[in-house]
Order: sequence, then structure tokens, then C-alpha cells
Amino acid sequence: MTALPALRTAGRRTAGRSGAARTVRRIRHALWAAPALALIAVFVYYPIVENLRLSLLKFSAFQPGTRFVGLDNYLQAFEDPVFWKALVNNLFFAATSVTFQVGAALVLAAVLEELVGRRLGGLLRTLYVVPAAVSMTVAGLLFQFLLQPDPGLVNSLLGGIGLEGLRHDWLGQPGTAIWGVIGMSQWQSFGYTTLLLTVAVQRIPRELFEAAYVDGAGRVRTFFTVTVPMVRQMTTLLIILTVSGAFLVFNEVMVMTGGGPSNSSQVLGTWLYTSAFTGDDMGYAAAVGTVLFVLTFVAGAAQLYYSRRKAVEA
Amino acid sequence: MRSARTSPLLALLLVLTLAAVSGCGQAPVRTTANDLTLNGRPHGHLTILEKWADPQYAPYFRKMVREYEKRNPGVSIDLQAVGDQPYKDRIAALAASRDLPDIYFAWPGQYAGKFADGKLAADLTKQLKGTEWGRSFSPDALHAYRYGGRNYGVPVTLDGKVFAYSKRIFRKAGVHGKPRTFPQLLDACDRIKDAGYVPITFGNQYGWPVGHMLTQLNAMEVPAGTLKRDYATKHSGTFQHPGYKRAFEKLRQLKQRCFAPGGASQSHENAQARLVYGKAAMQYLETIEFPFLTEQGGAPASFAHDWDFLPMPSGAGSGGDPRAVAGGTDGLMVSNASPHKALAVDFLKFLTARPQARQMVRELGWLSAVKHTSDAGTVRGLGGVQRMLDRRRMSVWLDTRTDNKVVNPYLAAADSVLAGSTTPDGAMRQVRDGAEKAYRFSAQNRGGAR
Repeated sequence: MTALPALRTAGRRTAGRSGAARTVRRIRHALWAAPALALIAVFVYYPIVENLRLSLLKFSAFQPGTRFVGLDNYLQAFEDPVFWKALVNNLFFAATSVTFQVGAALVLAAVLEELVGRRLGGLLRTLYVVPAAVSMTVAGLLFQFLLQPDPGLVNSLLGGIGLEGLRHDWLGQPGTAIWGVIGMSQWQSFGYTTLLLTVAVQRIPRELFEAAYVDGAGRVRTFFTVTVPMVRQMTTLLIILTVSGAFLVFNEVMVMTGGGPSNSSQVLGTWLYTSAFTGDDMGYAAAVGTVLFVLTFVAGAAQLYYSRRKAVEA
Repeated sequence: MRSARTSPLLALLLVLTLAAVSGCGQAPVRTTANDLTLNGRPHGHLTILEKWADPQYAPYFRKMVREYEKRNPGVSIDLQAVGDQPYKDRIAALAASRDLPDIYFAWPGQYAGKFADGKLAADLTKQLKGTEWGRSFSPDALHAYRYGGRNYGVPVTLDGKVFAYSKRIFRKAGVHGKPRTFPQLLDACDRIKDAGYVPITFGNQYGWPVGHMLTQLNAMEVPAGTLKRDYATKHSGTFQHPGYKRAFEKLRQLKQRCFAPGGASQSHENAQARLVYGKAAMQYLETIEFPFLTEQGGAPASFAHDWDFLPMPSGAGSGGDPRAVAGGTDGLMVSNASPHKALAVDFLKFLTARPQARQMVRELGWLSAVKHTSDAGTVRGLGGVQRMLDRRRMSVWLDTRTDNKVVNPYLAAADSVLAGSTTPDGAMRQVRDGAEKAYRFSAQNRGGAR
């Protein structure tokens, strides 16, 4: 009995010592993390907050003074037909990118892996990567030449196979310019996402496929019941990347069309840039930037939430 | 659970802290004393940012800087040259951060006017008005940088827009002599097309070529006073004159009878290749592009020795000035915050002194804003174009003369007219809408800025 208080005291001492040690350890951890946190705060969060603040102002880069206008810049965006055109173009970009760079790329990866993957794996990997290794500017200029009305390769091919009626000024007409840009972007990224999905397909245990075949499932059913669920993590990641990439697209448009003709190929990124540096409407450009941030943030968060729920259900 | 509750709190704290930090206002405009007189020998360090970055032009300006440094051992100059669009981005960022170089490039019109209005450019009136230096410039060029009766810029080059044409194709198509009227130009286009050539090669991928063409057509169709008032965007209800619509109609006629398909997706430079390689008869180009039409500039001899130029012919009963020429001057401004204003002015005096101006004409094949210098040039057509510009009134580029909030819808409307997706009436509605927005923006800024 007499030993018990001593033990308690010793325990308290030990607990006190371990509590102090834990505090010191926490402080040490915080100190180690502080530089990285400071960098993230300054270079990631500060611009976001500052952009939000600027979107509530009207000001010119060349004039002194700013004027608080509340949500006027956002109202201006909602009344601006070019803003809506740009947003729709971004949505076209996102839908096409998800269809080709995730959907079609997964089908291609599964088919090629099943049929010729073992024999031609090295060659395929090279073929997949080549377009992605070409710089965006070079690819843009290359497609500009391909899509020239005269003597562009696309129109020459159409003429060669007797489809003169389909010859078109692809980048010079408001109805087709954005599709020319989207087409180039798919060409450049399709191989890369196919490569990533091929790796994901290769990691699926062969026993699952064999079990499906033994159960009488055909190739199509096996694709949907085995391949698609087993590569969900990769497809989720690719959907997030392609959707946010589609909203952040800029270089492709600037190189190929500059947003024209008649603003028909503007996307939010180029419209933001044009409003800021050509239109000198900095507050409005900040508002477009905020809308862009919210869209990509919501798209990413929704996708993460959905994939997590699926993982829990599984 | 504890960490789940503290994380949003920490995030909120972080956001509020950042909001407080970011709450600082726009950087204030700093100015230094407007002392432009040099005391003693030139000394100090100058920074210059300009847009003559092309490998063909840049060496000349670097040479001028080295020459000035050699003559003035106490002076060092940091010269940076970037392309047109990067220049616009960079100078806007520098202007917003109130960190302009001592000397910087500015296009005339509202573009330079923004620097003057914002007190970002030094007032050079004392140095230029009624002085020998001021009198050495072409009056139109000097006037291009005058705002509120004060001079803010020093013109360096002179530039006008004309049609360069292949005399060989004109002969083959049976076009005798230069078209003098707009209908004659359209008839010439028909003949050239019948002969199997593209009448006018036009590359409008980046929008400004059609802006230049509309500068010309507007100047011919709309009285100068109306143009000045409308381009200034300081009033509501502008761009009502019927001449603007006529200008769009003429553009549509040119598109239908003179241009080849595909101009909207082709760069101006690519279009020029069609002219020099004998596929097209004419191109509407700047006189500073004349060096590209020479053998040294890459043109084949068959073209380089057999071309001429003609100004845009006007239509009958034009409401504006039938002898106007789209053009302008490129010039430099001095930062109002520069601690070396006197040194900057001294360098500009050196750069635009007649011997240096003549050297520029000789080496670059450009026209100078300094009078009596064109005879120094060896490029074909330079003397003739100088004589033409001397007799005509210059209309400054639409895309720098008016507010950018008007320019963007104007060029987009012109694109639509070229694509056939809108009528001249529809185009003018877009322009008026843009002008109203520009007016409201500037009126609010003038009234409510703090």
C-alpha cells in the first residue's frame, strides 16, 4: 500500500515529462513545417485572397486609385456574352477531354494491353509519349499549318478523298475555331493518359480476369466489371486533372487563335488575360479569375468526394 | 474530433490574416522633380524598356546605347527589348506596381495617354515646345504624344499604311496604272482574280491588320472632329456617324472581291510570303515593312525589283478626309518617377539627333520622325512614301488611339464582318455597346476613384 503513492508520483512525473516532451516535439514539428507553410501561405493562399479582394474593386493599371464596387464585376461577367462563350468553350474542352483522355484512352489501353501489350509494349509506350513530348507552342503551330484552308493538310486530304464540300477554314470560322484547338489538345494528351491507364491495367491481378472468363463473362462485360472498377483510382485522378486542365487551358488558344475570330474561341483563361492586359479592366479580370478558381475547386472537390464514397462502398 | 474542429478555425484565421495583409491599397504614384536640365557631364544609370526586339532591329538600338555610353563614360544603360505583346503585358505590370523604367516605349493615342493621365510620364513640354529639338520632328509625329496641350513623348519612327503591289501581276492582269478610287481598286481585284492570282493577301490571325484597315477606312469616311470625339470615349452616344457603317461595308466589299479565303487563320507574315513569292498581287502593309520586300529582307529578286506602293484609294463622296493615311509614330516616354530625368532626356536627344536618325533610316530602312532624313535610306520606295506622308494627314492606329474596351469589340465585329456572320449594322451595334461600356468605366473611374 505504501508503495502506491510513490508509484503515482513517479507516474505523474513520467506523465509530466512525457507531456513536456510531447509539447517540445510538437513545437519542433511546427518549426520544421513552418517554412513550407509560410511558402504555401504566401504563394498559394495569399494570391487567392488578394484576387478575391481585387475582384471587388474597379481600377486601371495606369491610373491612381481604386474604387470599391462590391459584386459589380461579377454582375458584369454574368452580362458579358464573351464570358459565357468562354465558359461554354471550357465546358466543351472538359467534356471532350474526359471523353477522349479518360474514356477512349481506357478502352484503348485495355484493348491494346489484352491483344498486343506483351509483344509491342515498348513500341506502344514510345508512341504514347511522343505527342506529349512536343512543346505546346510547336504543336499549336503544327496544327495551324495542318488546318490552314489552303494548302492545309486536312483540307488537302478531304479534297483527295472526294469530300471537297467539307473543306473549311477551320481556325478562321467562329463555328469551328475552338474545335480545332480542342482537337490539337486531345492529340497531345491522349497518348500520355493512355500510358498511365495502361500501367493501371497492368497492375490488375490476372486471376480476376481469368475468374471472370471462367464465369462466362465476355470481353466487354469483363471490361466493365473488372477493368473499370479496378482502375478507379487512376481514372478519378485523370478526371480531376483533365477537368481542371480544361478550365485552366490558355497556351493552346493563344498560340492557335488568340481567342478569335470574333472571340469565338475565348476560354476563361484567355478572357481573363485579355480583360487585364488588353482591356486594362483589372477588377473584372480578377472576378473572372475567382470564378475560374471556384469552378476548378468545386470540380476537384466533387470528384474527390464521389471517389471516396465509392471507395467506402466498395 | 478536436483536429476536425480546429482545422476550419485555423483556415479561417489564416484567411483573415491574409485578408488583413492584402488589404493594402494600390501602390501610390511617385513622382520626382521635373528637372530636365543636365548639370555638368552626364552620369548615372538608366533603365530602358522598349519593343524593338526583332533581331533585325535590336542591334541598332544596342549600338546607340553603346555609343552614348562611350561618349559619356559616367553613364551606364540597361536596355531591354521585348516583342509587342510581351511588352504590353510587362509595361502594364510595371505601371501597376509603379516601377517603370526610366525610359519606356509607348504607342501614340490613348495608349500613351494613359501614362500621361496617370501621371506616370514626365511632362517634356519645356524641352520640346518651341525648342530646336522640338522643331526637328515632324509636327504630326510630335503632336501624337500631346495631351492637354502638353508633350509627354518623343517620337522616334514614322510609319504609314499602304498597299505594296507586284507590278508583274498588275501587268499580267491588265491593270494599267495605280487604282485612284475605291471602285477602281475593286475592278483591279476582279481582273487580278480572273488572271489566276489572289488580289489582296490578308492575314488577320491576331486581329490588328483589320484594325489598321478600319483606321484607314474610318478616317476616309468620318470627319476628323467626329473621329476624335468618338475615339476619346469621353461622351455617351458615340459612333453614330453613318461613315463608320460605310467603312464596314467597304471592308465587306474588299473581303468579297479582293481577299482570299482563310485570312482569319493566317498571320500577316505568312500572308506576306504570298506577295513576295508571286501568288498575290497586293498586301496592305506598314512602311516599316518595306525592308522585308528587299532581297536582303528575304524577298526573291523577281519581286524585290518589281514592286511599288499605292495609298488606299477613297470612294466618291467620302464623309471624311479622302487623303488620310492610317499610320503613326513609335516613341519613347520618360518615367515621372525617374531619379534621372535629365539624363533620360539627354539620351533621347542623342537618339533623335539628325545624324543618329539618318543612321536609323539607312540601317533599318524605317522612316524617322526627325525631318529631312528619308534621303539617307536605300530601301526602295522610302523617299516616295515620305513625300506622300508629307502631303497627307495621318490617322493614328485605331487599336492604340481609342480605349481598349472599344478596340476589342471593334476588332471582334470586324472579324464577324469578314467571316460573313454579321452585317455592318450588326457590327456597329457591337461597337456602340463597347463604347458605352468604355465611357461608363472611365466616367466612374474619374468620378469615384480614391
